[in-house]
Amino acid sequence: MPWQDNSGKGGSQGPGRGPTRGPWGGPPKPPGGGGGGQGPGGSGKGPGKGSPPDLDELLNASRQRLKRAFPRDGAPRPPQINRQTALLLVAGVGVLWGLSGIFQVGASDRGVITTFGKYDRVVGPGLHWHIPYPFQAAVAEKVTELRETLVPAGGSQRGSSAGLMLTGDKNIVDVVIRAQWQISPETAAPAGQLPPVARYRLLIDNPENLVLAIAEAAIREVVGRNELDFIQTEGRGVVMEQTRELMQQALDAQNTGVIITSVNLEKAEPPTEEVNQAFLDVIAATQDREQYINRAREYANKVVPEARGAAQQILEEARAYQAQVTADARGQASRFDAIYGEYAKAPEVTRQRMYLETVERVLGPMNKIIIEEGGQGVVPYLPLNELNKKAPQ
Amino acid sequence: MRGNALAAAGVLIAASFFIIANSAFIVSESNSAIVLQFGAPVSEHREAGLKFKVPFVQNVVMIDKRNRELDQDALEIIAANQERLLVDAFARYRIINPQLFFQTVRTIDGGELRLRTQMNQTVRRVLGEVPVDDIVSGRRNALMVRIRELLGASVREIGIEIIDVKIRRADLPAQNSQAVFQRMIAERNQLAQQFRAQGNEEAQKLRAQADREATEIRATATEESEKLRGAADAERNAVFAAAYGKDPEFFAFYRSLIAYEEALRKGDSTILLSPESEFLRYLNNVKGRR
Repeated sequence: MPWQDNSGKGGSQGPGRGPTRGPWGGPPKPPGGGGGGQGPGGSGKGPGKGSPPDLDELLNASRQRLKRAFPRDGAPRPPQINRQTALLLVAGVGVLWGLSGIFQVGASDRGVITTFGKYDRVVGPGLHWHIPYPFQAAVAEKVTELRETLVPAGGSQRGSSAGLMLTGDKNIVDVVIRAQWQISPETAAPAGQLPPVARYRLLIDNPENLVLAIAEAAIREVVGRNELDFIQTEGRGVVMEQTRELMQQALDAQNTGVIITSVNLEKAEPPTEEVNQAFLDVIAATQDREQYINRAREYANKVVPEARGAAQQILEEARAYQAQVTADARGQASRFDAIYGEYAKAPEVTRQRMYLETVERVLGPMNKIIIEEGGQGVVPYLPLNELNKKAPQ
Repeated sequence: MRGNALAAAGVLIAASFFIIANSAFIVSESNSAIVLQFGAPVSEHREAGLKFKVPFVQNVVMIDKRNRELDQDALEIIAANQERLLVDAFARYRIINPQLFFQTVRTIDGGELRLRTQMNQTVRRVLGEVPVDDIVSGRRNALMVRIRELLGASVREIGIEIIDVKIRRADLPAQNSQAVFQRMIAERNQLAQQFRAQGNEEAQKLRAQADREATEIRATATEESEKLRGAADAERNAVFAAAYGKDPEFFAFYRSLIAYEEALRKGDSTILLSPESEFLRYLNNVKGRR
């Protein structure tokens, strides 16, 4: 591509529509148009792409350049120089070929080297060399870096059924787990086996899919063994650990060289919005229960002390009554005693006086009507109504 | 001449390259190779490395020998208790006998078609023998092992080894899921109702206890107060009796006077008096009437 871009730019000065030149830059025929005049210089820049016409051009160009350098020397010289340059060329190509065996293995990688397709060795991080193509080949694979697998793949939104699983008590729960894993960085291997990274790379088809499928099978198996409440509450840790163990067992049984470092239960929720509402309502109900009880306690805490206060009041009133009544009685009794003492000295006179004084006081403010007994000429007519009417005024 | 020699060398080199390219081949760790002569297999190479064959008359077919995945679409199976279940199982397999594989099914696609059919049958057969509960929880692992063994035995004849079979998911069909959701909702509603009822029960108990306690406290106080009042009245009576007992006749007179005064204190009463009355006995008669 860079080479096409160069030629495109060279030619674009003529027609003047430079940047849009890309689409018709497809066929590799750069010198045809604008670049024709300065062919050798322009095409000399990018011979490495190696398509046959380019090679010819390169040879033509160098020959012309040589002719220009030594214009008058005839036939005998070119073969000598040709051999020299050919040797140089061969040596250069040989060096380049040798250098192409150098490769770098990143800090978190391991390199797997194969000889004619057969496993040769595993190398750690650093700069390495292998016998170049076509004898040996090297591939690097990240090992210490953690990879993640989400089940269901890509997580799940509410309403999708991807994460729904049957629990042991035949409920349905919406689960998302995130498994973190890596390839064992071990470079040694037991006899007759390849090291883990080579097994991962060479002996397994689509290993990431394998981890996903095993994760899915494992979490469903674990969820299927346990009850809904357990999975959602205190059993989360157990579910994660059991899933991890199951995955590891399955991967080990298949000799994959994968290590599951952790399984995290990201979500374990009711499957649909309606079910979720019902679950939330249960939580609300437990709170309601507490609230009802607390209100009743409040009531009790109010009513009982109030009753105690009222009881105290009743008692105090009774005591007051007692004090009042007995004091009153004693007072009246002593008054009577005093009067009686006086009376005993002169009964008739005292009696008369008391009577008159009292009647005087009593009759003083009253309406009085005095009627002769069996009175002659007086009609004993009593206007009771009028008398009564007067009273309120 | 020199040019001819050069040309001859070039031709020779080209020819030997062509022959080498046609007789040597590379078998990678991921494949095994079968060498065919006029279409019939003559040898196989399971080990990786650089191998040779007779040029032109023999050709090579590579057969993948990796641990491969066979995914299957979800199957609706009917368990022993007549319940339906959507089962999605997958198998990992490996071609261990490339020659046999090539002779019987030729290609990976052909092999997987056969494998899928076999797996479909085996899964249905094994899971159809047990109730849903066993598939979902109880014996999942044992069932998977059984499927693996049966399937392994049936595909050995096409050169395939079954590494593992796992039930990826075993779920209820959509309409049954709805029923489960409804049941879950009903269960939760029941639970919520129970909690609220418990709350009410407990609250009512507490209120009733409090009310009883309050009533008891009041009643005890009332009892005590009545006793006190009774004692007070008794004392009063005793005091009066002691005082008035000295002269009951005078007491009657004295008490009557007090009562008249109390009863008639308000001045709005009208009284009819006879001149004959005790009070007016001197009104008409200076000496009194008697």
